[in-house]
Amino acid sequence: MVVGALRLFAPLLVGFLLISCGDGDQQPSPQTSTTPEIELSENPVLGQDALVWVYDDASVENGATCLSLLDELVPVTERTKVEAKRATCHVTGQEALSLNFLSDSSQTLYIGSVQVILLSDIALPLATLTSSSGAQELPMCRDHLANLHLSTRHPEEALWRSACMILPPLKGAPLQTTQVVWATVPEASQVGPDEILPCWLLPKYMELSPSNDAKDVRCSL
Amino acid sequence: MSKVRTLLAAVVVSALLLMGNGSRTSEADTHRWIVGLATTCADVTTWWHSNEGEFDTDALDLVLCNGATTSGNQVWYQDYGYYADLEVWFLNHDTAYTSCTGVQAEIYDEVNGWYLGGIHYVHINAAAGVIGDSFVSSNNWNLELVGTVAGSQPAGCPFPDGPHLHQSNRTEIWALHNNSSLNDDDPGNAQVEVNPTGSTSSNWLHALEQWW
Repeated sequence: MVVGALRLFAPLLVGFLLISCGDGDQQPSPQTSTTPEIELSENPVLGQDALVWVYDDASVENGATCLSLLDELVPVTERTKVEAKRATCHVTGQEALSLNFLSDSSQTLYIGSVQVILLSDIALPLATLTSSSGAQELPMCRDHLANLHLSTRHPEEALWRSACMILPPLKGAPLQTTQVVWATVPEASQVGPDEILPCWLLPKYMELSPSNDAKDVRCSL
Repeated sequence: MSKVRTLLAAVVVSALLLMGNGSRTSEADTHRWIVGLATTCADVTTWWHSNEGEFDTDALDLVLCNGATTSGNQVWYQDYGYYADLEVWFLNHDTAYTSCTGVQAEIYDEVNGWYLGGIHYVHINAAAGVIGDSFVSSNNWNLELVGTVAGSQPAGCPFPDGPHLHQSNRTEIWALHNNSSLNDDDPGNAQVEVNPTGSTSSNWLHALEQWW
Protein backbone atom coordinates (compact mmCIF):
# COMPACT_ATOMS: atom_id res chain seq x y z
CA MET A 1 0.00 0.00 0.00
CA VAL A 2 2.84 2.36 0.82
CA VAL A 3 4.45 1.74 -2.53
CA GLY A 4 1.15 2.36 -4.25
CA ALA A 5 0.71 5.58 -2.38
CA LEU A 6 4.20 6.69 -3.30
CA ARG A 7 3.50 6.01 -6.95
CA LEU A 8 0.28 7.95 -6.71
CA PHE A 9 1.55 10.99 -4.88
CA ALA A 10 5.21 11.20 -5.82
CA PRO A 11 4.58 13.40 -8.88
CA LEU A 12 2.55 15.81 -6.79
CA LEU A 13 5.16 15.84 -4.07
CA VAL A 14 7.95 16.51 -6.52
CA GLY A 15 5.90 19.26 -8.10
CA PHE A 16 5.32 20.84 -4.74
CA LEU A 17 9.01 20.74 -3.90
CA LEU A 18 9.87 22.38 -7.20
CA ILE A 19 7.32 25.10 -6.64
CA SER A 20 8.55 25.62 -3.08
CA CYS A 21 12.12 26.03 -4.23
CA GLY A 22 11.05 28.97 -6.33
CA ASP A 23 8.93 30.51 -3.62
CA GLY A 24 9.59 34.13 -2.75
CA ASP A 25 9.03 33.84 0.99
CA GLN A 26 12.35 32.24 1.83
CA GLN A 27 14.47 33.26 4.81
CA PRO A 28 16.20 36.60 4.23
CA SER A 29 19.84 36.32 3.28
CA PRO A 30 22.40 37.30 5.95
CA GLN A 31 22.84 41.03 6.44
CA THR A 32 26.22 42.41 5.42
CA SER A 33 25.62 46.01 6.44
CA THR A 34 27.07 47.19 9.73
CA THR A 35 23.97 49.26 10.39
CA PRO A 36 21.49 47.20 12.35
CA GLU A 37 18.43 46.76 10.26
CA ILE A 38 15.01 46.11 11.63
CA GLU A 39 12.91 43.64 9.82
CA LEU A 40 9.98 41.43 10.54
CA SER A 41 11.26 38.63 12.68
CA GLU A 42 10.33 34.99 12.53
CA ASN A 43 8.95 35.58 16.02
CA PRO A 44 10.50 34.34 19.23
CA VAL A 45 10.72 30.60 19.70
CA LEU A 46 8.11 29.39 22.13
CA GLY A 47 9.49 27.79 25.24
CA GLN A 48 12.89 29.38 24.84
CA ASP A 49 14.52 32.55 26.07
CA ALA A 50 14.62 35.66 23.94
CA LEU A 51 16.76 38.80 23.93
CA VAL A 52 14.57 41.87 24.24
CA TRP A 53 15.31 45.60 24.26
CA VAL A 54 14.23 47.13 27.61
CA TYR A 55 14.62 50.50 29.31
CA ASP A 56 17.95 50.95 31.03
CA ASP A 57 16.37 51.16 34.47
CA ALA A 58 14.28 48.02 34.03
CA SER A 59 14.67 45.40 36.71
CA VAL A 60 14.50 41.98 35.10
CA GLU A 61 14.33 38.86 37.23
CA ASN A 62 15.67 35.53 36.09
CA GLY A 63 12.99 33.52 34.35
CA ALA A 64 10.71 36.49 33.78
CA THR A 65 8.24 36.01 30.95
CA CYS A 66 8.40 38.53 28.14
CA LEU A 67 4.77 39.34 28.78
CA SER A 68 5.55 40.36 32.36
CA LEU A 69 8.08 42.85 30.99
CA LEU A 70 5.61 44.43 28.61
CA ASP A 71 5.79 47.90 30.18
CA GLU A 72 9.60 47.75 30.13
CA LEU A 73 9.93 46.91 26.44
CA VAL A 74 11.16 49.80 24.29
CA PRO A 75 8.90 50.33 21.24
CA VAL A 76 10.72 49.66 18.01
CA THR A 77 10.09 53.20 16.79
CA GLU A 78 11.86 54.63 19.84
CA ARG A 79 14.73 52.17 20.05
CA THR A 80 17.47 54.73 19.35
CA LYS A 81 15.99 57.56 21.40
CA VAL A 82 16.29 56.25 24.94
CA GLU A 83 18.86 54.59 27.15
CA ALA A 84 18.19 50.90 26.88
CA LYS A 85 19.75 47.50 27.29
CA ARG A 86 19.27 43.89 26.29
CA ALA A 87 17.55 41.55 28.70
CA THR A 88 16.53 37.93 28.61
CA CYS A 89 12.96 36.79 29.05
CA HIS A 90 11.06 33.57 28.57
CA VAL A 91 8.64 33.14 25.70
CA THR A 92 5.36 31.44 26.53
CA GLY A 93 2.46 30.83 24.21
CA GLN A 94 0.70 34.03 25.12
CA GLU A 95 3.54 36.19 23.82
CA ALA A 96 3.05 34.68 20.40
CA LEU A 97 -0.65 35.46 20.46
CA SER A 98 -0.51 38.99 21.86
CA LEU A 99 2.84 40.56 21.04
CA ASN A 100 4.32 41.40 17.66
CA PHE A 101 8.08 41.66 17.75
CA LEU A 102 10.56 42.88 15.21
CA SER A 103 14.21 41.96 15.32
CA ASP A 104 17.55 43.20 14.11
CA SER A 105 20.40 41.14 12.78
CA SER A 106 21.61 40.40 16.31
CA GLN A 107 18.28 38.73 17.01
CA THR A 108 17.36 41.36 19.58
CA LEU A 109 13.60 41.72 19.72
CA TYR A 110 11.79 45.04 19.76
CA ILE A 111 8.13 45.35 20.60
CA GLY A 112 6.16 46.50 17.57
CA SER A 113 2.52 46.23 18.53
CA VAL A 114 0.24 44.35 20.89
CA GLN A 115 -3.07 42.62 20.27
CA VAL A 116 -6.14 43.34 22.40
CA ILE A 117 -9.80 42.37 22.14
CA LEU A 118 -12.12 45.38 22.25
CA LEU A 119 -15.88 45.62 22.19
CA SER A 120 -17.09 47.19 18.97
CA ASP A 121 -20.23 48.01 17.04
CA ILE A 122 -18.99 46.37 13.85
CA ALA A 123 -16.63 43.53 13.05
CA LEU A 124 -13.44 45.51 12.51
CA PRO A 125 -12.22 44.81 8.98
CA LEU A 126 -9.02 42.89 8.32
CA ALA A 127 -6.43 44.17 5.91
CA THR A 128 -4.72 41.85 3.46
CA LEU A 129 -1.01 41.52 4.07
CA THR A 130 1.36 42.05 1.22
CA SER A 131 3.28 38.90 2.07
CA SER A 132 2.60 35.69 0.26
CA SER A 133 1.10 34.08 3.32
CA GLY A 134 -2.39 35.20 2.40
CA ALA A 135 -3.08 35.94 6.05
CA GLN A 136 -4.90 39.12 6.92
CA GLU A 137 -3.57 41.70 9.31
CA LEU A 138 -5.55 42.93 12.26
CA PRO A 139 -6.49 46.63 12.12
CA MET A 140 -5.05 49.30 14.39
CA CYS A 141 -7.49 49.99 17.21
CA ARG A 142 -7.10 53.76 17.03
CA ASP A 143 -8.09 53.73 13.36
CA HIS A 144 -11.53 52.57 14.41
CA LEU A 145 -12.31 54.73 17.44
CA ALA A 146 -15.72 55.59 16.02
CA ASN A 147 -16.67 51.92 16.00
CA LEU A 148 -15.36 51.00 19.44
CA HIS A 149 -17.64 50.72 22.44
CA LEU A 150 -16.95 53.67 24.75
CA SER A 151 -17.13 53.14 28.49
CA THR A 152 -20.03 55.58 28.73
CA ARG A 153 -22.17 52.89 27.13
CA HIS A 154 -23.20 49.58 28.66
CA PRO A 155 -20.96 46.70 27.56
CA GLU A 156 -23.93 44.45 26.87
CA GLU A 157 -24.98 46.80 24.09
CA ALA A 158 -21.86 45.96 22.11
CA LEU A 159 -22.41 43.77 19.08
CA TRP A 160 -18.88 42.45 18.51
CA ARG A 161 -15.59 41.56 20.15
CA SER A 162 -12.82 42.51 17.77
CA ALA A 163 -9.10 41.86 17.84
CA CYS A 164 -7.01 44.90 16.96
CA MET A 165 -3.48 46.20 17.44
CA ILE A 166 -1.97 49.02 19.50
CA LEU A 167 1.47 50.62 19.28
CA PRO A 168 2.94 50.77 22.79
CA PRO A 169 3.87 54.31 23.84
CA LEU A 170 7.29 55.46 25.00
CA LYS A 171 7.55 55.28 28.79
CA GLY A 172 6.99 58.70 30.33
CA ALA A 173 5.80 60.29 27.12
CA PRO A 174 2.90 62.76 27.37
CA LEU A 175 -0.41 60.97 27.07
CA GLN A 176 -2.22 61.15 23.80
CA THR A 177 -5.85 62.09 23.83
CA THR A 178 -7.46 59.00 25.21
CA GLN A 179 -10.83 57.38 25.08
CA VAL A 180 -11.95 54.85 27.65
CA VAL A 181 -13.36 51.80 25.90
CA TRP A 182 -14.55 48.33 26.80
CA ALA A 183 -12.25 45.37 26.33
CA THR A 184 -12.42 41.62 26.93
CA VAL A 185 -10.05 39.63 29.11
CA PRO A 186 -10.21 36.07 30.45
CA GLU A 187 -12.60 35.70 33.39
CA ALA A 188 -9.76 34.65 35.70
CA SER A 189 -7.54 37.62 34.93
CA GLN A 190 -6.51 39.94 37.75
CA VAL A 191 -8.03 43.12 36.31
CA GLY A 192 -10.49 44.56 38.84
CA PRO A 193 -13.94 45.81 37.89
CA ASP A 194 -13.08 49.44 38.71
CA GLU A 195 -9.61 49.48 37.18
CA ILE A 196 -8.96 51.40 33.99
CA LEU A 197 -5.64 50.19 32.62
CA PRO A 198 -4.01 51.40 29.44
CA CYS A 199 -5.38 49.06 26.78
CA TRP A 200 -1.91 48.22 25.49
CA LEU A 201 -1.08 46.62 28.86
CA LEU A 202 -4.03 44.23 28.79
CA PRO A 203 -2.01 41.39 27.19
CA LYS A 204 -0.26 41.05 30.57
CA TYR A 205 -3.58 39.78 31.88
CA MET A 206 -4.39 37.42 29.01
CA GLU A 207 -3.54 34.07 30.56
CA LEU A 208 -4.92 31.27 28.47
CA SER A 209 -7.61 29.19 30.09
CA PRO A 210 -9.39 26.08 28.85
CA SER A 211 -12.80 27.54 29.66
CA ASN A 212 -12.37 30.60 27.47
CA ASP A 213 -14.73 32.40 29.84
CA ALA A 214 -14.36 36.12 29.46
CA LYS A 215 -15.24 39.32 31.27
CA ASP A 216 -15.47 42.89 30.09
CA VAL A 217 -13.18 45.55 31.56
CA ARG A 218 -12.50 49.19 30.76
CA CYS A 219 -9.22 50.47 29.38
CA SER A 220 -7.84 53.71 28.05
CA LEU A 221 -6.89 53.81 24.41
CA MET B 1 -1.29 30.30 -4.54
CA SER B 2 0.80 29.85 -1.44
CA LYS B 3 -2.25 28.50 0.36
CA VAL B 4 -2.88 26.00 -2.35
CA ARG B 5 0.72 24.84 -2.26
CA THR B 6 0.60 24.51 1.50
CA LEU B 7 -2.61 22.58 1.35
CA LEU B 8 -1.32 20.36 -1.39
CA ALA B 9 1.79 19.64 0.61
CA ALA B 10 -0.24 18.78 3.68
CA VAL B 11 -2.49 16.48 1.74
CA VAL B 12 0.26 14.73 -0.16
CA VAL B 13 2.50 14.05 2.76
CA SER B 14 -0.33 13.21 5.11
CA ALA B 15 -1.68 10.77 2.57
CA LEU B 16 1.65 9.00 2.48
CA LEU B 17 1.79 8.91 6.24
CA LEU B 18 -1.76 7.80 6.81
CA MET B 19 -1.73 5.12 4.17
CA GLY B 20 1.49 3.77 5.51
CA ASN B 21 0.23 3.68 9.07
CA GLY B 22 0.03 0.12 10.30
CA SER B 23 -2.27 0.99 13.16
CA ARG B 24 -5.16 1.69 10.81
CA THR B 25 -6.34 -1.92 10.73
CA SER B 26 -6.36 -2.42 14.47
CA GLU B 27 -8.16 0.84 15.11
CA ALA B 28 -10.56 0.24 12.23
CA ASP B 29 -10.82 3.92 11.49
CA THR B 30 -12.81 4.58 8.37
CA HIS B 31 -12.07 8.32 8.25
CA ARG B 32 -9.49 10.65 9.75
CA TRP B 33 -9.59 14.42 9.91
CA ILE B 34 -6.48 16.56 10.17
CA VAL B 35 -5.91 20.17 11.23
CA GLY B 36 -8.24 22.45 9.32
CA LEU B 37 -5.85 25.39 9.13
CA ALA B 38 -4.21 25.61 5.73
CA THR B 39 -0.71 25.21 7.04
CA THR B 40 1.96 22.61 7.64
CA CYS B 41 2.49 23.71 11.25
CA ALA B 42 -0.07 24.65 13.90
CA ASP B 43 0.32 25.39 17.61
CA VAL B 44 -2.27 24.24 20.12
CA THR B 45 -3.14 27.16 22.39
CA THR B 46 -5.72 25.21 24.42
CA TRP B 47 -5.59 21.42 24.75
CA TRP B 48 -8.71 19.27 24.37
CA HIS B 49 -11.61 21.13 25.96
CA SER B 50 -15.37 21.17 25.85
CA ASN B 51 -17.14 24.52 25.93
CA GLU B 52 -19.64 24.55 23.12
CA GLY B 53 -22.55 24.10 25.50
CA GLU B 54 -25.39 21.88 24.47
CA PHE B 55 -23.40 19.08 22.93
CA ASP B 56 -20.50 17.01 24.23
CA THR B 57 -17.70 18.24 22.07
CA ASP B 58 -13.97 18.12 22.43
CA ALA B 59 -11.89 20.77 20.77
CA LEU B 60 -8.41 22.03 20.18
CA ASP B 61 -7.71 25.74 19.78
CA LEU B 62 -5.17 26.20 17.00
CA VAL B 63 -3.08 29.03 15.62
CA LEU B 64 -0.30 29.17 13.08
CA CYS B 65 3.12 28.29 14.49
CA ASN B 66 5.30 30.79 16.34
CA GLY B 67 2.89 33.67 16.30
CA ALA B 68 2.37 33.94 12.57
CA THR B 69 -0.75 35.91 11.72
CA THR B 70 -3.70 33.53 11.98
CA SER B 71 -6.51 35.95 11.21
CA GLY B 72 -7.74 35.47 7.67
CA ASN B 73 -5.99 32.13 7.27
CA GLN B 74 -7.98 29.63 5.25
CA VAL B 75 -9.66 26.69 6.99
CA TRP B 76 -10.39 23.47 5.12
CA TYR B 77 -12.41 20.39 5.87
CA GLN B 78 -9.66 17.80 5.42
CA ASP B 79 -10.72 14.17 5.81
CA TYR B 80 -8.98 11.06 4.57
CA GLY B 81 -11.48 8.27 3.92
CA TYR B 82 -10.63 4.59 3.79
CA TYR B 83 -14.16 3.95 2.52
CA ALA B 84 -16.49 6.01 0.34
CA ASP B 85 -19.37 5.85 2.73
CA LEU B 86 -20.25 9.26 4.15
CA GLU B 87 -22.53 12.07 3.19
CA VAL B 88 -21.24 15.38 4.52
CA TRP B 89 -23.36 18.51 4.89
CA PHE B 90 -22.01 21.93 5.83
CA LEU B 91 -24.13 24.07 8.13
CA ASN B 92 -23.68 27.25 10.11
CA HIS B 93 -22.31 26.59 13.57
CA ASP B 94 -25.13 26.11 16.05
CA THR B 95 -25.50 29.35 18.02
CA ALA B 96 -27.93 28.06 20.62
CA TYR B 97 -25.30 28.27 23.35
CA THR B 98 -22.86 30.93 22.16
CA SER B 99 -23.03 33.26 19.22
CA CYS B 100 -19.60 32.25 17.90
CA THR B 101 -19.45 32.03 14.13
CA GLY B 102 -18.37 28.88 12.38
CA VAL B 103 -19.17 25.96 10.15
CA GLN B 104 -20.03 22.44 11.19
CA ALA B 105 -19.71 19.45 8.92
CA GLU B 106 -22.57 17.06 9.72
CA ILE B 107 -21.79 13.49 8.84
CA TYR B 108 -24.23 10.79 7.83
CA ASP B 109 -24.00 7.19 6.70
CA GLU B 110 -24.57 7.50 2.98
CA VAL B 111 -26.47 4.21 2.70
CA ASN B 112 -28.71 4.25 5.76
CA GLY B 113 -28.81 7.95 6.49
CA TRP B 114 -27.71 7.43 10.08
CA TYR B 115 -26.28 10.49 11.78
CA LEU B 116 -22.69 9.77 12.70
CA GLY B 117 -21.49 13.06 14.17
CA GLY B 118 -20.07 16.43 13.34
CA ILE B 119 -16.76 18.18 12.91
CA HIS B 120 -16.95 21.82 13.99
CA TYR B 121 -14.81 24.74 12.83
CA VAL B 122 -15.51 27.70 15.12
CA HIS B 123 -14.30 31.33 15.18
CA ILE B 124 -14.22 31.37 11.41
CA ASN B 125 -16.12 33.26 8.74
CA ALA B 126 -17.85 30.81 6.42
CA ALA B 127 -16.59 30.67 2.86
CA ALA B 128 -18.98 31.76 0.13
CA GLY B 129 -21.21 28.89 -0.92
CA VAL B 130 -20.18 26.40 1.75
CA ILE B 131 -23.31 26.63 3.88
CA GLY B 132 -25.80 24.11 2.55
CA ASP B 133 -23.21 22.42 0.38
CA SER B 134 -22.78 18.64 0.59
CA PHE B 135 -20.86 15.79 -0.95
CA VAL B 136 -20.50 12.03 -0.76
CA SER B 137 -17.07 11.22 0.56
CA SER B 138 -14.51 9.27 -1.39
CA ASN B 139 -12.04 6.66 -0.24
CA ASN B 140 -9.33 9.28 -0.59
CA TRP B 141 -8.91 12.88 0.47
CA ASN B 142 -12.13 14.81 0.90
CA LEU B 143 -11.44 18.54 0.91
CA GLU B 144 -13.65 21.59 1.08
CA LEU B 145 -12.80 25.20 1.89
CA VAL B 146 -15.02 26.08 4.84
CA GLY B 147 -13.85 29.61 5.68
CA THR B 148 -11.20 31.90 7.09
CA VAL B 149 -10.17 32.59 10.68
CA ALA B 150 -12.15 35.56 12.00
CA GLY B 151 -10.70 38.70 13.58
CA SER B 152 -13.99 39.54 15.29
CA GLN B 153 -16.75 37.55 16.91
CA PRO B 154 -20.31 38.51 17.89
CA ALA B 155 -20.48 39.89 21.41
CA GLY B 156 -22.08 36.75 22.84
CA CYS B 157 -18.98 34.77 21.95
CA PRO B 158 -16.33 34.86 24.73
CA PHE B 159 -13.29 35.13 22.38
CA PRO B 160 -10.72 36.30 24.99
CA ASP B 161 -7.83 34.73 23.10
CA GLY B 162 -8.29 36.48 19.78
CA PRO B 163 -8.12 34.92 16.32
CA HIS B 164 -7.76 31.14 16.33
CA LEU B 165 -9.47 28.03 14.99
CA HIS B 166 -11.54 26.03 17.48
CA GLN B 167 -11.82 22.58 15.88
CA SER B 168 -13.95 19.95 17.57
CA ASN B 169 -16.08 16.88 17.12
CA ARG B 170 -19.22 15.64 18.86
CA THR B 171 -17.93 13.05 21.26
CA GLU B 172 -21.28 11.64 22.34
CA ILE B 173 -21.31 9.78 19.06
CA TRP B 174 -19.54 6.54 19.97
CA ALA B 175 -17.84 6.02 16.64
CA LEU B 176 -16.25 9.47 16.56
CA HIS B 177 -13.21 9.97 18.72
CA ASN B 178 -10.35 12.35 19.18
CA ASN B 179 -6.66 11.64 19.09
CA SER B 180 -5.94 12.06 22.77
CA SER B 181 -2.38 10.87 22.26
CA LEU B 182 -1.68 13.48 19.66
CA ASN B 183 2.06 13.84 19.32
CA ASP B 184 3.92 17.03 20.05
CA ASP B 185 5.87 17.45 16.84
CA ASP B 186 8.24 19.95 18.44
CA PRO B 187 8.83 19.16 22.13
CA GLY B 188 11.17 22.16 22.41
CA ASN B 189 8.21 24.41 21.79
CA ALA B 190 6.22 25.60 24.82
CA GLN B 191 2.99 24.62 23.10
CA VAL B 192 2.02 21.35 21.51
CA GLU B 193 2.80 21.63 17.83
CA VAL B 194 0.65 19.72 15.38
CA ASN B 195 2.34 19.30 12.08
CA PRO B 196 0.11 17.45 9.63
CA THR B 197 3.19 16.46 7.68
CA GLY B 198 5.45 15.78 10.63
CA SER B 199 4.29 12.62 12.32
CA THR B 200 4.11 9.13 10.99
CA SER B 201 1.45 7.97 13.40
CA SER B 202 -0.31 10.87 15.04
CA ASN B 203 -1.07 13.65 12.64
CA TRP B 204 -4.84 13.41 12.76
CA LEU B 205 -7.25 15.08 15.21
CA HIS B 206 -10.51 13.17 14.86
CA ALA B 207 -11.40 9.74 13.53
CA LEU B 208 -14.51 7.74 12.76
CA GLU B 209 -14.38 4.06 13.62
CA GLN B 210 -16.07 1.40 11.60
CA TRP B 211 -19.72 1.52 12.65
CA TRP B 212 -21.42 -1.22 10.64
